Amino acid sequence: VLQANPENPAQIDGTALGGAAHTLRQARAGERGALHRLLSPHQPALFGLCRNILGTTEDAEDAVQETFLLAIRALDRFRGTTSEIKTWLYRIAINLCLQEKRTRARRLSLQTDPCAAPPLPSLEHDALTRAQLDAALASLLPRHRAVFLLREWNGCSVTEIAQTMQCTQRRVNNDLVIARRTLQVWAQQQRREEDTL
Amino acid sequence: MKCRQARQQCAVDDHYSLAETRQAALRAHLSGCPGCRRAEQEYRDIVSALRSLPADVPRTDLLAQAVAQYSLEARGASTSRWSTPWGRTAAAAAATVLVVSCALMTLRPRTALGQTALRRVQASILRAKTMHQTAWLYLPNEEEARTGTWHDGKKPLRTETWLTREAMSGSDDLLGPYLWTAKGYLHYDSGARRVNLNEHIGIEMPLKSAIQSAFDPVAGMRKAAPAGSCLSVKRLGDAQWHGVKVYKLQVASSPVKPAPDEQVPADPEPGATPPLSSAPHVRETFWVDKATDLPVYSEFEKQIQLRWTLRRRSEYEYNRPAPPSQFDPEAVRQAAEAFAAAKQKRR
Repeated sequence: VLQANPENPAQIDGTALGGAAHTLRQARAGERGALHRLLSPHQPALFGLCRNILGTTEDAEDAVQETFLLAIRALDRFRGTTSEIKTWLYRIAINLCLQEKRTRARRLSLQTDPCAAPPLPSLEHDALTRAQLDAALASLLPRHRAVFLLREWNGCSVTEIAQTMQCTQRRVNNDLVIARRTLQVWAQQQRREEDTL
Repeated sequence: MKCRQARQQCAVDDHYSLAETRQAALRAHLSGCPGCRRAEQEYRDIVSALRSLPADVPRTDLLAQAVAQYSLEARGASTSRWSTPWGRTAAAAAATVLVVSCALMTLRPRTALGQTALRRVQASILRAKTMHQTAWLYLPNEEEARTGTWHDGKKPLRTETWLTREAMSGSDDLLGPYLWTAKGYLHYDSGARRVNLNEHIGIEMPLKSAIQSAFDPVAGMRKAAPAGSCLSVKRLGDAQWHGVKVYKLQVASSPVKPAPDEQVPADPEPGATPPLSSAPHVRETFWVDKATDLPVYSEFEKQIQLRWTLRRRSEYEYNRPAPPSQFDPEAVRQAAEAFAAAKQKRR
């Protein structure tokens, strides 16, 4: 059971030391405060990542909540250091998001309401709107979208992305090239449609 | 340098320090090729838009919710039978089997989006003060009920229900107006041809339970599912319902045990699990408003002759002030008598 306010020597020592490793140990022991210190800094980045992969705020909230729940459950088995928590959380979140996309694609290929797709605004504004950006991201395959977002939105290095996606750096680079090319094609198509109007 | 090479190098430019000669070649190509320059600029526009958009903020503290849920799970686990020494040994063995079988089945975590959505819907409904439900029932005739068959093209029976936390009232095409309060059940007695206030005679379920069941989307499914079957919840895709952005949530019974993250706990049944009955399986799909997490529409289906057949459609409204006449016994009595008189006249 999680301890709301544990009074044990380890916590006092940990507070005094202020060590990240100690926070991890406390979190493994189930201390709420340590869990918050360890995981809450990653919530905004995780939420933004899931929001951009899944496309809606509600789905992203579900995915982030599930990510935290899975992470807390599996914290005992996590063998990395505190600095690797970020990569680990990203990996869980991306697996959840990709799984959800796959399940939804299988389940709902016939059930999706065509009216649900919002009309896309034109590219005449200088800056892309949220809807346009969602459409641009939707043109990418889920895996490429995840790699692109990790690089360009979360600012991860190629090494970190490779760790998160559990693949080689070469494959990450290939994915980034494909993502870039797909987005450029999308932008060209938008431009062409705008010119024909 | 060719365009194809240049565009590939643009992609890795940020991540790897290219050799000086390659960088110079790339710069030279971009300065001389408007197509590549434009493509690169368009990509940069997308990235800068991505970075400059105001960040969405989750509606609640997701971590706090996850911690609270885990705390509940942990508390349940610590008081379970697995906390005894024998239990721990058995749990370790079970866990080993589970880990091996999970590893064989999948290496990725599964999602539990349906369960999360259902929890949200239940929490939102708990906050609702009133509910107005209009339902259309597609009932089988006597022969169909006897033979377990189904024919399409039925005329539905319309029912309307007002629900507060204290009382239920409404009407239907067949029996007319009714009112159910803590004091009794007001309805037209077709045998005696008069309106009676019954002291809950013949009604098995107390009013409070009936109201709770009516508010809870899973309670009805627990009763409708055949004995021994399992209930699962799945979150389906997004849609629109009369201009409202919704997502679909499906609760279904099945003889197959669903994955833990899709399972809806059944009512506690001490003792042995009842054998799977031959009653048809059921499912209900809810169209849930994304903004409020409240169901606005639902379809209840039964599996008859291996075909899902629609048995009830319902529309819901919440927190709409209920008309006082619906809960005034005298007004309901008069309405019921007028309905009965009109029905008698039609005959």
